[in-house]
Parts: sequence; structure tokens; C-alpha cells
Amino acid sequence: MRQFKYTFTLFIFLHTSLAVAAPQYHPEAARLYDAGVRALTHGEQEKAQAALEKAVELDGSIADAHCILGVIYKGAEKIHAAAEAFQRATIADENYIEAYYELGDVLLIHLGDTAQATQVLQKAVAIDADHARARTLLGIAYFRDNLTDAAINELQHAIKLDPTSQIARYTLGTAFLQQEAWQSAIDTFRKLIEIDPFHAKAHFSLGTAYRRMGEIEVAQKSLQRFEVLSVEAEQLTHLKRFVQQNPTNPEAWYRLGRIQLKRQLWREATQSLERYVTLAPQETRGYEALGYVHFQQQNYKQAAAMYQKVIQQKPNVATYRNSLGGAYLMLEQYPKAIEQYQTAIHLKPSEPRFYLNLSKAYELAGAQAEAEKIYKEYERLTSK
Amino acid sequence: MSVLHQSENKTTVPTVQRICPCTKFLILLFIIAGFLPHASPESDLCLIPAGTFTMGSDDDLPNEAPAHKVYLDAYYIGKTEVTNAEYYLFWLESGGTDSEHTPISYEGEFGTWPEIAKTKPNYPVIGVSWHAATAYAAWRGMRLPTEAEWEKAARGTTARRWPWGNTFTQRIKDATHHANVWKQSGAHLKPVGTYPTGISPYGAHDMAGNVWEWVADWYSENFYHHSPDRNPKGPVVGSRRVVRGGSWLNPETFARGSTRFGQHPAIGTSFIGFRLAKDATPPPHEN
Repeated sequence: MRQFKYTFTLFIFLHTSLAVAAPQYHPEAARLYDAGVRALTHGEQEKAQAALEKAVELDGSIADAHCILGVIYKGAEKIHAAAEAFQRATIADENYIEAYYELGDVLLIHLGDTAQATQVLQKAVAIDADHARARTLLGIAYFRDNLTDAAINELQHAIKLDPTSQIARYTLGTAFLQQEAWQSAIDTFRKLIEIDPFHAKAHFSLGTAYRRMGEIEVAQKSLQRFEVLSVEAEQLTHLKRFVQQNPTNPEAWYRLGRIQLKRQLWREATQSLERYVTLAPQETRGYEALGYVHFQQQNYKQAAAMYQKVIQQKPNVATYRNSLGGAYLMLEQYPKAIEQYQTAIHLKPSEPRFYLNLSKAYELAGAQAEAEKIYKEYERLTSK
Repeated sequence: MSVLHQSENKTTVPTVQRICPCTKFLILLFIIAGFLPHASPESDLCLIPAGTFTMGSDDDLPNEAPAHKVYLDAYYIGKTEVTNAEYYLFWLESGGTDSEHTPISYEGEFGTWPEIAKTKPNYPVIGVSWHAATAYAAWRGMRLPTEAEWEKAARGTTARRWPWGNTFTQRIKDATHHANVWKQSGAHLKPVGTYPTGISPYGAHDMAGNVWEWVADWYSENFYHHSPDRNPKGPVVGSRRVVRGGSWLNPETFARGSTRFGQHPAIGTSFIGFRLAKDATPPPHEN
């Protein structure tokens, strides 16, 4: 660590004394840089690293080569090497905000050096006051240093720049908790949960804030939600590990897919459920879940194909007919949608939403009179 | 947009590497006299009328969100990416082999500069930094498009995912391929305008694939959350410049009209080129 600090100081010195003017790169280094970036684009990490290392050896002024190397080292958990690479990037280009940000991240998150991180991140923010991630990280650094007011100020600024930042909102809420500003904490965590309803820690912190406000019932609801989400998260971790070790276990893939579906992790859910239907092609529940996932991803053609498979095996379940009708509706295949909704109504005449959907299908198909007639039936059923 | 001849001939390049002073003088004289078009003829540009379009996307990467309405004054944008042949004269005028704007020679399939200007004149110029691209544009009396201008030119006013529509493999006029992007079998750089069915609503070629294109703006991943809704010019500072459109090196999803990426401006690559833009005055109105 001491050696690292020495190196860091040395780089700061170099930085101020050897700022590089408009670069003319060593031709071979420029070619190697290009080869490195191309390799990285196709996931060839080792090849990329080798090319970029040679590039910076030939020409240390290619800032981006240093920065990309830093990202590669960081990914490989070579943290000190990453820090040095990012430092070199800031030497090659003293306004390289991303390199300052990455260096700040490595110092703060991986090396726990809040003081150095603060210095680097302040520099990043001084160059670009609108860099949301740098401001967020600086806010976290201030918070860790118990500079809560400064942290709140920084994090609020970061959220203005990027209202979707979950880490900024979570840290801000935590800072409000520390200040015993319960209502501000509640507002912050509620907003975070709006963005990510599955943020377990936000539910816990929200519950804590409500409890401190004396709102015990609401607090309990939040804490219960935290427990459910925590258990789900544990199951998710466990099942992911389990399917890696037991890739032919259909039940595990299905359960994993269901949790991913519940958490709206559509891509992951698709993969898990596709594995399930391959392993258990006779089970309708896999096709049904997969149909839903495809529908949510607006892959209506695939959704329709899945619901058709379900209906082949269970032709008399009204909800499946309704789901297939929905997929056809989105595909603008109105006659097919109408047929499915009519079958759904035939199978379960007491379900109002089938009438509503059929009415919509008629309307889109241009059959206004039929649409109105069916809609009246829907109104009759819902008014009971 | 040939600087050599007004319209069709993009394949002729002076057979010189080290041009003799007399010839250089004559070329400059021609340029000054207007025999060679210093600024591009407007037939090589697409007119994008003034009006509002949807920029960004709520359904893709976080740096594309939020989708938002942007008004742009009328402008012109290059029908194609700037080619080797076009860049060649600028390179000569800016010092030839001594030019600070010399493209990087990648050798192999990309060829070495300046030979490549002769052997592959219609290919997009690559290996040029953002600074070189900007200098070239200024030399032509034009500029790089802003990020917003680039996106409107690629997607039109109906927020198309790709310049020709919303499906990558859509069949148009018996052609199923509209862009030069990475496939499982690999991909290579291609001449500009190779995919006529891939043109944008305004007639610009290769706005998806072939090479990423430098645009004028600094890159900021969260810029759309606070960007102006009229003629945005990008953040005031930054460390990377925006590139748009994807390339031969990337799969189709990177070639979407709203995909954004930041690249360090000081160095070129074999997969980044650029196209030109200029203001249209007086601005005609679209809507």
C-alpha cells in the first residue's frame, strides 16, 4: 500500500510536469491499439490485453490504451495494476475524465482509500461538473468520511443529472437516515423503489425510516417485503449455482426461470425457461411461462408459438386462449385473435375481460357494430 | 462527395504519394479557381428539413434514455461517409507525409496510407482522429454533424430502429441485407453506398454499419436527462467524442439509429470514419 501511494504521488508529479501536447502516435503503437480494441470488441480479452500492453510500451501517450487496460485489469481484479493504468491515462490526457472516474472508483471501492479517491474525484468533477457517476462516487466518498452534508449535496446534484441512478438514491437515503431526516429518507427510498421494486435494501431502509417515524404498520410491510426479496435473492443465487452443477435438472431451471420472470429479468428468464422446455417438452407450464416472457419482451410471434403449444396440450383452458388471442392482437392478426377470444368466452362465459378483449379485437378489425355489442356485454358483467 | 469530380467519379486519385511542387501548385490553383469543388456540391448532401423528431430510446441501453423530442433547424448531411479519395487531397494540402492528419496505416486488408487512396478510393477513410475529421470538414467549408443531426438523418421523424425500418432482416426490393455489420462469418470494410436498400429516410447511405462515425458532440451517458430540446450541441466538456452508427466490427444491435458510444478523440481506429454536415440557409420547414 505504501509503495502504491509512493507511485501515485510520483504520477501526480509527472502529471503536472509532463502534460502531453497534441499527440502524433507511434505507428505500430496505433496499430496495436486498434488490434487491442478490436479484440476486446469480440471478447478476446487476453489478446486485447497483450496488444494494448505492447502499444503503451511503444508509446505511452495513448491515453485510451492505458484506460482500456485499466478496465481490463480491474475486471481481472488486478486492482493496483488497474490504478496505475488509470493514472497513466490521466498523465497522457490530463482532461481524461473517465480515467479520473475509474481511478476514483478503484481507490474508493477496491482499495478503500477515501482520501486519495476524494482528491481524484474532485478533479473529475472540477473538469466536468455534469459527470453524474463521478459526482455519485464523490458523494459516497464524502459519506464515508462522515461529511454528510457534503455527501447529500453531491448526491442530490448527481440525481438531478441522472434521475435513474440507484446507487446515488440509495446512498442519499442512507445519508438522510444518518441525519435522522426521516421524511427525506422515506421520500428517497420510495422513489428508489419506484425505479427498482426489487431493491431489497431500499425496502429495509424504508421500513427503518417508517419505524423511526412511528408508522409501525407501514414499517412492517416494508420489512416483510425486504424479507421476501432477500429470500428470493438467496434462492436465485442458490438456483444459479445449482443449475451450473446440475444442468439437466428441469425443475431447477423452471424454478429459476419463474423467479427471473417475477423479477422481470426477461432475458435471463427466457434462457432458463428455454432450457426447461428442452428438458421437459411435455410440460405445459414451461411454454406458458415462456409465452408470457416473450409477450413482455414484445416478441409476439414467439409468444404466439408458445401459447399454441400450450393449447395443443390443453385446448380447453380459457386463459390460454385469451393469451394466444392477445399475441395475435399484437401481431395485428385480428381474425385469429377474434377466434381465440370467442373460444375463451365459450369456455368461460362469466369472465368479463375476455369480452373486453374481444370487443377491442373487433374494433381493430373494423367491425364497429360487433365491438359495441360485445362491449355492452362486458359492461353488463362488470356492473353486477 | 468527390472532391475530384463533381459527381460520379470517386475512383480517380492522382498517382502521387510525394506530390511534386508544380502539381501541388496546380491542384491548389484549381481549387482556388473552383475547378475542383472545395465545398461539396449539394447533390452529394441530403437536405434534412427543419422540424421535430424523437431522439433516443426508452427500450434499449440506458445511455439512450429517455426518448425525447428535439427540434432541429434545417441542415445538410453527407450522403455517404467521407472516402479515401476525398480525404486524399486534404491530406496532400495539409502536408502529405508530414501531415498531422495522416490516417493510421493498418496494413493487411485495410491497406496502407496513402496507397489505399489509390487502390480503394471509394472506401470510407479510417484511422483518422476526431481532430483530423474536424480539420477535414473545416477544409471543405463544412463541419461534423451534431449527435442530434446524425440521429435525425438516420431515423427520420418516425423513430426507426434502423434507417430502413424496424426490422433488421426486413426484405426490401429483394434484398435482405441493408448494412455492413458483423456476422458469424465475420465482416470487412466495404465501399460507401454498397447497400442501396439500407438508405435512411432522407437518402443517406451506411448510417447503419460499415464504420462508426465521429460526430461533433462530447459524449455524456446521461446527457439526455438534461439536454436542450432545440438544436442541442452536446455537453460543454468531456473526454470522449460521440461515435454513431456501428461498424463492420459490431453486430446489428450496435447499428441502431439511437445507439451511442464514446471514443477518445485523439486516435483513429479501423472502424471509425465520419461524414460531413452543414447548415441549410434559409431553413425550409418540414412540419
